[in-house]
Amino acid sequence: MQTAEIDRQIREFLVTNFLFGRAEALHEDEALLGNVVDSSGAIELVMFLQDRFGITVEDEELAAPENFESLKNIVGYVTKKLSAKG
Amino acid sequence: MCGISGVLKFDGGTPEREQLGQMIATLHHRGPDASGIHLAQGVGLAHARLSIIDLQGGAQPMSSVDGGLWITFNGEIFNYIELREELVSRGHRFATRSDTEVILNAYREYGEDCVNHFNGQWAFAIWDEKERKLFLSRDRAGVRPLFYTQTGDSFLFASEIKALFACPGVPREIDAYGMDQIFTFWVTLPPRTAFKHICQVPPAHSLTVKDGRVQLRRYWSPSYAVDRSLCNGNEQKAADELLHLLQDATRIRLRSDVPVGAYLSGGIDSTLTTALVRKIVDTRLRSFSITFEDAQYDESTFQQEACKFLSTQHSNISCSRTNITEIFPEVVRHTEQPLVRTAPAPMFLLSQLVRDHGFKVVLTGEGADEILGGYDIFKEAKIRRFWAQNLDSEWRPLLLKRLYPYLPELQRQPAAHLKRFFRVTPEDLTSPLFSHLPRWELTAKLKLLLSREFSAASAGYSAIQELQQALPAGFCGWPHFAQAEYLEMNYFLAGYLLSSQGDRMAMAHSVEGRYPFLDYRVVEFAAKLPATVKLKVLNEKYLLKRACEGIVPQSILQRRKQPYRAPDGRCFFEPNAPSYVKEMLSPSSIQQSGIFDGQAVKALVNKFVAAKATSVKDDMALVGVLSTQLLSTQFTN
Repeated sequence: MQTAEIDRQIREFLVTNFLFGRAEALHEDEALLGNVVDSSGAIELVMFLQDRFGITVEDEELAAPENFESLKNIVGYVTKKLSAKG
Repeated sequence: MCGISGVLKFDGGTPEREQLGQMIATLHHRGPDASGIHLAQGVGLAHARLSIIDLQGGAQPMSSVDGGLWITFNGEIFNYIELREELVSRGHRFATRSDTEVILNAYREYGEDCVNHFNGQWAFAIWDEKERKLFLSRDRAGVRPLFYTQTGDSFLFASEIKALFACPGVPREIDAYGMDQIFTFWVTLPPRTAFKHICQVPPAHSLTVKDGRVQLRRYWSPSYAVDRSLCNGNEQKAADELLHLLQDATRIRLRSDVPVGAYLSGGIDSTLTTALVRKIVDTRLRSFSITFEDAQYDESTFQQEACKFLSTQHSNISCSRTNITEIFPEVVRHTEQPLVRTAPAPMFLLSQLVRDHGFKVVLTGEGADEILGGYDIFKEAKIRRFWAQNLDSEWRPLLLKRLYPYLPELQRQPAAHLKRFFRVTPEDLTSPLFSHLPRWELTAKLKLLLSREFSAASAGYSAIQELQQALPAGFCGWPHFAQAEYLEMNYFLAGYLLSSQGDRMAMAHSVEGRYPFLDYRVVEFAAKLPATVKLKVLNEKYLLKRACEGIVPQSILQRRKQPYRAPDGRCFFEPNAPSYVKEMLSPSSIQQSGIFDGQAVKALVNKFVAAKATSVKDDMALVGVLSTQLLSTQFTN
């Protein structure tokens, strides 16, 4: 899957689920946790990534802030996981 | 307890009786027993009475014996007996034995400072004929409501906003700044309300209107300077003193010519107030409570224990999700402000239960959590600070999970995420608003729902900045715990708990709530106590629990504190949900009110329809949109 498509799908999920559909409120480099994704939302996000992209998010990956820091980081993380999967 | 309203004409003309009649008619639920109007040159006062003290002689509006002062008064001055004696000894004459007349003579004796002599809960207006001055006042904690506005030629005031809207020329418009504040703090910052041009007299303030000039003045603010001598080496002494004050606060709150009942939630606070009543009253006490069909909100086991222990004659009412959705429009009509929680709705049912049993007055335990360290937000702030001292600690964040066992999603969060959500960074630690930032910032996400057109009116505005500017001098140097207490007491308590969950829900069924914990002597004493005896490590209301030993059952003293909550957003999407829900959230209604963005509301509704709305934020968003839509339809259309 192309990075642009991964970006589109994650963006759509974040906007629909956490920003009431307000796409303009999502910024690529913005810190997501605490700003966009609320306290219960991180789990929703992980479930989505696992279901949609068929990847497994390990506990230590979840705990590493750089993976989920921003939209850009999540897209990078998923791209890396997918390419490792082959 | 009553409803009051009035009109002051700037040109000295006499207001129309019909207008005052229309205003007071909207407040019939606050005072169904009698009503009265007084008209004079330049002013008109109106009153709807719920007879509680001096059933024969307490009719209002009331004049002083010499006719120079007129008053319309909602509330109770609990120390009126002592004040009356004092005033008689100073030569004042009384024609009744009501507390209303005590206010008039106290005003005569002490002028505007009379309010500092009162121990009670009040909203009143005095017309001083000689001075041609209107004097309005609201009690220290903000138990009783008081709103005002101005039109071209008049100053208008009333217990509820709907009475102001009964007057011609009063604009009916939802205020963009008010919405911004509610979608941050859950309340508006007084004097602002949810409606443009409608103000409220803030708690602990008086207001005068003279020669066309309106002036607000704060008359009371408790000192939060800690007095270590209160419990240095002797916590029992402080606990005894607290209990003594609460006993006296309860004693004077039983002054009534009608029977007094008690709300019994199953928690420590209301069990204690009920126990203190039992010490004074010989007859079997009547108590009332809410139970929930949803087990996660229900506290009936503890309620039953408290009833058994205190031998009260108890009645309860069960609240279902259907009850909440059915009464919600009526609840909003009474709160007169948008809500982000449905929690007022069960209180509406409870006051109905009380009234159906023939009671007009109930004592409640409200206020204890604010003044004695009961809320989770105090613990949360303490844990966050503790964590911030060692950000790499693995077990410190676990304390946050232990704090919220009833939020399952939060339990599964990795520490890195909790750190972000709970704002545990060195920069956050320096903020005087540290304790409340996570709550406010979460709520502020709801602003995304507002339409561009509506929020354009408050573009660039920061509600948090406004609050920060209104803080008392030196606030930044206060102890952290006192800062959190101040924010909770001054904003959340008065603007939401005592209003939307308190006065408005009780008065919807003509029931008066009385709050021993909010006796100013108790509040002032509690404010001086060191934080360590309020929240001892993570044991909330430590000193209060100590004061309760032997009076409140051990099972209640040792139970895990359960915050009062009610089923929220999801109940509006059950198969039997009333038709207004769909109507209020429909694209045409959203477009008509103009407050919310159609696409954003659609996305939110879809999430609920698909049963994918699981977060606290979604719940708040749904209740926020629905209540605002109801408010807009009921009041501005």
